Amino acid sequence: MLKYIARRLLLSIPVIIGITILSFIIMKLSPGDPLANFINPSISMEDLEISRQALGLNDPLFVQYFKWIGQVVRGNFGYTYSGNHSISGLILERLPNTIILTLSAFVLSFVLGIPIGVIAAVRKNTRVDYGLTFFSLVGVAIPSFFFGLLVIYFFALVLGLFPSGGMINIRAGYTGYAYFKDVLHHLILPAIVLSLGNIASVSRFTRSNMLDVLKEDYIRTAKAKGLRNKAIVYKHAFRNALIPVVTIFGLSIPFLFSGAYITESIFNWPGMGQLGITAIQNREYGIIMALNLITATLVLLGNLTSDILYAIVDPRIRH
Amino acid sequence: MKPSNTTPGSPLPSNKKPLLQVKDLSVKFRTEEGMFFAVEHISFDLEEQKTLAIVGESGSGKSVTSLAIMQLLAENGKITSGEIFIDDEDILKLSQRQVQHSILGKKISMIFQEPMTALNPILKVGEQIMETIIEHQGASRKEAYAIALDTLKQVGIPSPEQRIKQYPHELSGGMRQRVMIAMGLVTKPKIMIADEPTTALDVTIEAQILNLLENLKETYKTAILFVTHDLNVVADIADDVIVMYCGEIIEKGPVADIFETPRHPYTIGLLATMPSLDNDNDILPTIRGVVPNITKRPTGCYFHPRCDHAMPQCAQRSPAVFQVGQQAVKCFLYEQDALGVQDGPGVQDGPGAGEVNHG
Amino acid sequence: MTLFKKNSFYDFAYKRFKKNKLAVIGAAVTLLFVVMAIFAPLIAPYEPSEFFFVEGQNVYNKYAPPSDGHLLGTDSLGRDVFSRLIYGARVTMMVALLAVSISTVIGTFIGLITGYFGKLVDAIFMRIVDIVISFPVLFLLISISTIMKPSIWIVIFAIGFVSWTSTARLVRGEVLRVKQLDYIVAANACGSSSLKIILKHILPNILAPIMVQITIGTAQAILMEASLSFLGVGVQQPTPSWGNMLMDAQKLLVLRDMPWIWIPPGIVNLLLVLAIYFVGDGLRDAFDPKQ
Repeated sequence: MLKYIARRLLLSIPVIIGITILSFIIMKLSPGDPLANFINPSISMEDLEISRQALGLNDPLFVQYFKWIGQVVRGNFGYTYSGNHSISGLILERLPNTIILTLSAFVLSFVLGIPIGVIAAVRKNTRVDYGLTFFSLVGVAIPSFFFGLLVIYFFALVLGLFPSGGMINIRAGYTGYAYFKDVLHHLILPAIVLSLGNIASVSRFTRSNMLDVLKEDYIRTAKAKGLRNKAIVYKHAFRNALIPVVTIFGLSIPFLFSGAYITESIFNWPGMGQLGITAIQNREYGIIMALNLITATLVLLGNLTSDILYAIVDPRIRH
Repeated sequence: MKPSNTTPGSPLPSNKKPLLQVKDLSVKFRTEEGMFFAVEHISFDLEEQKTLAIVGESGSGKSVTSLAIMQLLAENGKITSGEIFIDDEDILKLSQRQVQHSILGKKISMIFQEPMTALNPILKVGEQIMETIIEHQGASRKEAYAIALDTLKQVGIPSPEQRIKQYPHELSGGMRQRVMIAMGLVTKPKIMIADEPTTALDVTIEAQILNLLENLKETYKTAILFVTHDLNVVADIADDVIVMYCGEIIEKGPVADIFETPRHPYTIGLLATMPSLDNDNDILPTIRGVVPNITKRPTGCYFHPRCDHAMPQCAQRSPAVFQVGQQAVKCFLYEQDALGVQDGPGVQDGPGAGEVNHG
Repeated sequence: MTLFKKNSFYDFAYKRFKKNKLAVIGAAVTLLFVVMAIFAPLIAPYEPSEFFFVEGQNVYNKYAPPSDGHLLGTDSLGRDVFSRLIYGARVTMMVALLAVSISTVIGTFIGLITGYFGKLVDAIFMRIVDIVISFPVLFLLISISTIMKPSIWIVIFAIGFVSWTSTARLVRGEVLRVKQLDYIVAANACGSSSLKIILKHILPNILAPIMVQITIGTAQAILMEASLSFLGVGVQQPTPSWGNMLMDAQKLLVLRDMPWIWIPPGIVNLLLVLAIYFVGDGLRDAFDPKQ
C-alpha cells in the first residue's frame, strides 16, 4: 500500500514538471512583448534594453524557465499588463468562489449519478432504465451553455424562482446565516448546470460497471447461497461496481474546471472561470497561464487522490 | 421391462426416497439465431449419501442442468418444462423469494469451478461464509463467526483464525476451493452440487479435494451431484453416472456397470479415450468428429453423424430409452433385446473395437 | 472479442446494429444533418451573411420575430437565423470531422507504438498523456486559440491536438490485449517485422473500438467547437456556427424576449450530438458480443 502510494507520487513528479514546461512554452508563444504596454515614446531604445536585461528577457530560455519557476513556487505569477495588479491576488480572490461552485457540482454528480446508474442497471431493459439512460445521454449531449441559458430562461426569468446570476445580492448586505442562505440560493442553478454533464457520465459509467459486475461469477455464488436480492445487489455487486467509479473522481475534476469557465460566465459567478474569460478578452496571458498551471496542478492532485482512494477501497491493491 | 418413451426410472431400484428428483427437465436458450434446446427431457433421482456424476464434454448440457436446478440460468436461458422436487416440493412452482429463502443455500448448495472468480474479491472469506448462516439460520454475527471458523477447520484449512480474516486473493487455489466447500457446507444442506470443482486445480490438490468431499459426504450425510468431464474423477467418487451428449442423457447407470460394460457407442468411445495406467498406448484414441453446436444439431439421434453403428433410422428419429440390466441407454442398438441380452457393442470385443479412431 | 472471421464479425455487428432502434434513428438523423450541410446553398433561403433592412427604410431589420419571410426571424445584425442555422451545420461538421481525423491519427499512432513497443517509449508517452490530460480541455483550447489569431483552422487544430489522448489510451489498451493473441505471438516468433505485424495483424483487430471512439470523438468535438465559439475564441463572425449564434443570448434582452435567436441553434446542436451518441452506443453494443 505505502509502496503503491510512493510509486504514484514518484510518477507524478515528471508530470508536474511537464505541466510547468508546457505552461511556460504556451506563455512564451503568446504574441506581444511583455513590455509593450510600458512602451512610451519618451523611453529610449537603450533604456528599454536595460529593462529587458533587468527582467531577464534576454537570458537563454531555460534560465528564464528556472527564474519563472522560482517565482511560481513562491506563489508569484507576476502582474497584469493593465493596472499592474498582482495576478496571484486576483486569483486568490476568486479561487474560493470557484471551489464552492465546483465542489457543489462534484458532490451533486456523485450523489445523483451513482444512484441513477445503479437503478438503471438493476432495472435493466425496463422503462425506468430506458428513461434514465435517455436522460443521461441528453445530459452528455447537451451543450452546457445552452442548458445554462435554458435554465436561466425558465427558472429565473419565467418562473422567477432563482436569481439569474451573481453570487450574492449585493444591495441586501446580508451577513451570517442570511448571507449563507443567499449564496446557496444563487448557487443552486449554476451548480446544477455545471454538474449535469458529470451526473450523466457518472451514471452511465456506474450503470455499465454494475451490469458487468452483475455478470460476475461471484454474483452467481451469492445467488446460489440464497441471499436476498438486496444483499446481492448492494453488498456484492454495488461495492465492486463502485471501485472503478473512484477513478472518475479524478477525471471529473478537469471536466468541472472546464465547465466552470462557461457556467461562471453565463451566471456571472465571480470565480476563476469568469476571470479567465475577462483575461481572454483583454489578452492577459499572464492570468491565463497562471490559471492553467493552478488548475493542472489541482487536477493532478485530484488524480493522485483518486488513485490512492482506489487502493484503499480495493483490497487486491491494498495488499 | 418396456421401453419408456422419454426417460427411464431410477437406475437403482431402492427403498430410499430420493432427496432430489428431476423430472423431464428441458431448458431453452435464446440466441441470435433463435431459440434452442440446451437440455431436453432430463430425469434423474439423487438419494441420500449418494454421489451422482454427470459426465459430458463441454456443450453437453451438464452445467446447464446443474444451473437449472439452482435456478441460476443466464438471462437468455429458460426452463420450458419439467419438475424439480426437493423434499417432495416442486421448487419450480415456488416464487423467487421462496426459493431464495427456503431452498438455495439451505437445502441445496453449489460449489463452482473457478474458486478465484466465484468468490467476491472485496469481501473477507469469513464474511462470505458467515452471511449464509446469518441469512438462513438467523444467527448473530458472533455465532456465525464461530460456525464459520469451525467449518473452515472441517474442510482442513490450517490456522483458520487467520484465514477467516483474509481476502480470496491471499489464498492459494486449493485453499480457495476449500473455502468454497466450507461456504456450501456451512448450513448443512442435504444436497450439494459440485460443478467441476477440481478442474482449476492441479492433480495433487485435486486428490485432496475429492478426498475431502468424500469424507464430508459421510460426516454430513449429504448427497452430491458431481458435474465433470473427467472420467477418472467419476471412477473415484461416483456411485451412479449420467452420460450426457448434446443436452440429452444418453446413458445412465451404476458406475461399476457403466465402466465395465458401457452400452451407448458414445459412452464406449468416451471410456476408450480415458487415459489409464494399464493402457500403454502412447496415443489416446479419440471419437471422430466434434460435438455439434447447439444451433446446428442433426436430426434423429444427435450422435449419429459420429457413430460407427449408425443405421438409417438413426438419422430419422430420436431413439427411445431402453433398459439394459441396471443401465438405461438411449440407442436403437438396444431396441430388440432391451432386457439383459448383451448384443450391443462391447468394449473388449465386438463392434465396439471399431468405435474409436486412433490418432 | 474472440477471433471471428473478419467478415462474419462485421456482418454480425451490422445485424445487431440494425436491430437497435435508437441507433438506427441516430444514424438517420445524422445523415439528415450531413445532407443539410452538403446542400446548404440549396436549402437555405438566403446567404448566411446577408443583411436585411426594414422595408422602405435604410435601417437593419434587427431582432425580427419569425415570419413568412424569415422562418426563424433575424438576429442582432438583421441576418436570417434559419439560413445561418443551415450553413452552421456545414461549419460544425467540417470542424468536427477534421479535428477528429487529426486526433484519431495522432492518438492511434501513439497508442500503437506505446502499446506495441512498451517499456521506455510507453513510459515517456504515457507521461505526456498524463501532462496533457491534466489541463482541462477548454483551458488548453482557450490558450491555443488566444495565442494564435482565431480562425476556423486554429479551432480544428486545437481540438484535434487536445483530444488525441483518449484515443491513444484506448488504442494502447487494445494493442496490449491483442498482442497476447496466439497468432500475433506466432507472427512475432516467426520474425515478421514490427511494422508488418502492426499494420497487418494488430490494426485490423482493433478497428472496431477505434470506430466507436471516432463516433464519440466527433460528438465531443462538436460540443468543444460550440463552447469555444460561444466564448468568442472559436469560429469568428461573420461565419455562422451553432456556438457563436448563441453568443447574443448572454444579453438579458435577447435571452428573455427573443427565443427564436438562441433556442433553434441550441436544439439542433443537442439533436446532432445526441444522434451521434446513439450511433456510438449502438456501434459499441454491436461490436461487443458480450452484450
